[in-house]
Amino acid sequence: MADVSQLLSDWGKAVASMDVTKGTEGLLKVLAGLKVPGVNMDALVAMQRDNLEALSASNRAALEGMKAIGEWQVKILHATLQQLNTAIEGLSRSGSPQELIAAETELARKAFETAVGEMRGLAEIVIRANQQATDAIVKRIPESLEEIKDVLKIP
Amino acid sequence: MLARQIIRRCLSLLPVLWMLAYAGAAGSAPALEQVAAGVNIDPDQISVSGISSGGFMAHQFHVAHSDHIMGAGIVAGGPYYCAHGTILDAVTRCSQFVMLECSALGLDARWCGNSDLTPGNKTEIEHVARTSFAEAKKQEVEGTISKLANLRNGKVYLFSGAHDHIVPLGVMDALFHFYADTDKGGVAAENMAYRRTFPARHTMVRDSFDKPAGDVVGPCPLPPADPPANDKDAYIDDCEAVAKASALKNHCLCQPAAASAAGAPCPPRGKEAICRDLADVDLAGAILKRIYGVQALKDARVPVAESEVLAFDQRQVFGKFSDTPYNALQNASMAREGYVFIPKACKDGRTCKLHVAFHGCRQGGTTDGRIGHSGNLFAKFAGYNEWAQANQIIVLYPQIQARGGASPLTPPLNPRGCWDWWGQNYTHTAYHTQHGSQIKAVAQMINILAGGKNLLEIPAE
Repeated sequence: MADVSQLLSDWGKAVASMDVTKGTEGLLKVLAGLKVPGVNMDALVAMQRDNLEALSASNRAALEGMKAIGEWQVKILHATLQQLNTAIEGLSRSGSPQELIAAETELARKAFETAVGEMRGLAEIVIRANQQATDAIVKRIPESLEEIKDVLKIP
Repeated sequence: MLARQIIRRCLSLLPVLWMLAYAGAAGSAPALEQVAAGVNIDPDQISVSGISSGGFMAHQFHVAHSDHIMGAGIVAGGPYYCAHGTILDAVTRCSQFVMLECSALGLDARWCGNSDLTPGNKTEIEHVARTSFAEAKKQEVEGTISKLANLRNGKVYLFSGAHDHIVPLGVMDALFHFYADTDKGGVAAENMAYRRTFPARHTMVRDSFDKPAGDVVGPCPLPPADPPANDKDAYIDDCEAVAKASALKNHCLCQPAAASAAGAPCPPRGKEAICRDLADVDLAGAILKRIYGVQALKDARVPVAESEVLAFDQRQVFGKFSDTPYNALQNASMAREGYVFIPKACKDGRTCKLHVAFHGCRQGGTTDGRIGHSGNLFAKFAGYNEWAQANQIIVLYPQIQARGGASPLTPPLNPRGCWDWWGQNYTHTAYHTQHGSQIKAVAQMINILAGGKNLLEIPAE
């Protein structure tokens, strides 16, 4: 097996230098670490990741395969980024303390809408997948609702 | 605050959702500090053990923190940095996991059936041990692990099932050399045990004591009987009947030579190893006795209720060293909840020992929820708690959660829920050092159990 062994070793070394998940992890860390008043970004990003995990663990045929999941991921990342832009713009615009409170309130409201919206999307997919949905995805619904408390820093 | 009022108003519009939230989710588990309030551990009596990927982790945790870890039990694991930071080496050279995944990976069945790249002969085994220790030396020089000289005082127990085709014997032999060779770990022979003849597959061996009802604990099937299907297998087996049958077959159940009329040696010549190994069917007990000494485990085990294994929030552990603990936990592929068993006597401030037990792939997080046995099976049924209850040992069960890795957008790639012993596309290059995210998290748990002391070194992010 020496030849195959050497071949594998060389190939192993080549692919070892590729750690394709590291870049995404870095991006997610940046997103999670952003300071958005009233919103725990760490919890929000984590919640979306768990939703994606549940989706990928569920019946892929019901979601038209990997393509649908991929599109969902991009959509959610896009939405999160957009929300972020709004947040940053909102903060830079606010001058007086009153305006800051107003901006905070608006951000919290939007964050909440986003969170609920994502879950509505998730629920629709569950309905579509119906009996084909695995336990993993069904379990996520109550979990997601519980997570809103973390996301919105509600005592 | 105004913001909070508005949020509350929004929420009041969704009473149904909230009812669901409260009915469906019990809420987060308490922090480890809360669960373990009042415990007092002996900092000189902290040890680790584990099976399979947990065996690899137990060993690399021992190497990374040998200044505070006084013993290690490794079941079906392998030597430090065996995988050289690549998933390919992990599943082909250090284990035969690739065989389990052959069809899933789309590999040619003929190749899968005939290829064994794990170390087979003496030269290959010694080579693996040597390169493994060389990496440890390198990390020691870089200051990312404890001084390797600490290993010399360690207590080590190694176990490889004779029918384990997933982590073959050669890999465990290399681990033995890592610890035993005088130019490597240099552990004294009297402080080491290596069991390599016990008739078992790749599984956590145990006996019938306090065995749960039902089929959660398997019957220890051996070839030619088929192994259970992956999703039905808890990788915990009651091998008591198998051990008894083997002891009978090998004439282990004999009278000591002095008492026997014929003066025949007992065990029979050539059967010393198998007869000795069969006695370790209570594997968790054998591990703890090797690590802490028979005297420290002198009190007979007692039954332990499943409910005595308590959950704690692993996210809060990450919160001690990360600004984004939820995501840090996910990046480390760790479950929201870990488990800990605290003997009754350890709740009143008495000094107790601490043992960390690492589960194997497919054994952690919520992956093994079965009817009648919700939650983690390894933490409840691996056989540690019964000894721990009687002899004042706290047992910590940190937990991995499988993460599907649907795409590079959802790191890490850990679909089988293994502890990280290869790094690539998982917790990355520092996985086998004090900087590894899983090693950091477990070290933090130990520090919490040590009353918040900075016992184990936890490098900054």
